Amino acid sequence: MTKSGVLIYASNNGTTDYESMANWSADRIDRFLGLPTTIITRKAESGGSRRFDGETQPWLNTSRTDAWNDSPYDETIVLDADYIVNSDILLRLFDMRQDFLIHQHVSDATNRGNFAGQATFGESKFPQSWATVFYFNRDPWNEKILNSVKKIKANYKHFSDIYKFPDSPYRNDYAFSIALGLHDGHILGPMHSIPWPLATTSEDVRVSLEDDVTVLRYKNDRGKEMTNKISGLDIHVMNKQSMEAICAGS
Amino acid sequence: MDNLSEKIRARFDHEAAKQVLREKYEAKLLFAHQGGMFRATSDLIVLLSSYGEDQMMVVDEYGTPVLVDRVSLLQEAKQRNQEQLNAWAVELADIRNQR
Repeated sequence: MTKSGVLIYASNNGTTDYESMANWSADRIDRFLGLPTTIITRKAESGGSRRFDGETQPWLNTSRTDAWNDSPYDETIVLDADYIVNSDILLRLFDMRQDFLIHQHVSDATNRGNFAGQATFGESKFPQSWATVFYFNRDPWNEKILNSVKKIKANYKHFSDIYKFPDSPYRNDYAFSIALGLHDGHILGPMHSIPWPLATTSEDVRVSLEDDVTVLRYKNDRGKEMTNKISGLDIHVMNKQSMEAICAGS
Repeated sequence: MDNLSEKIRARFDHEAAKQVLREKYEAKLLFAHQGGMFRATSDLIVLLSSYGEDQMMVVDEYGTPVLVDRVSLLQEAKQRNQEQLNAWAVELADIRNQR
């Protein structure tokens, strides 16, 4: 019988408590998906730094390339610690014939088009995948993909020169996009695409969770305070303070 | 107190809510059938209804032609389509009442 589960990388960076987020997520994964979760907490290599809420934090984002070895499962979904599971939609990934799946479309849950410029990356406008969520099974092809991501990480400057994007900080999204492109012979298509968009809120959106209803608060383009309430939909939350407050409060 | 008054002042964003609902229910229209991944759209239902053969080839969400039992796929597509559109309509009515 195939063993399926979720893998979350959670490296605390001294400012954000990713381990608590991952533990909180594991409970929701059990409740909504009925799947076990493996949390990897070993100290990750820093991919550079990033500003969250006006504060510069180390970005310890480089571990997921080890997912092939870290996962104890035959079929694995790798999730970011700041991804709120609020539905059973991820179970669809196990029904698909594809060996490797990743988000290739992102949507702004506030409808302000905040990610419109991120469909591609670099001056060469290469289509971007989002490594926030990806699925893989034990097909040997997937080990090659993840090994390629490692090589791209190890030679990031070289690839940043070729694809013409900034060489710091390290972005998993770019490394996975390039690796998939290389293995597919740069033939673009939907073969690895999760067939729904990754609903995401940008860093300025304050997010709370009330009885499994995700409440978003933000300003529209005229500066007016707006709110949106979402139920039954998973959300990737970029505002880490909101995520910490959600995890602490439930 | 500031936080409370901010919450009270905030207006419900109907357009964003509608967009999120559409994405949510378009995802819920997906289903696996006979080795393919299909979306229970009206296009799929019309396509399956327009043929009379027991079996036919249909291109799935991944661009792969799949040999399907036409009637069973049609039944599942129709059922899922109506279930999800009904649920979508109920939620849409709820958000229209939000302030």
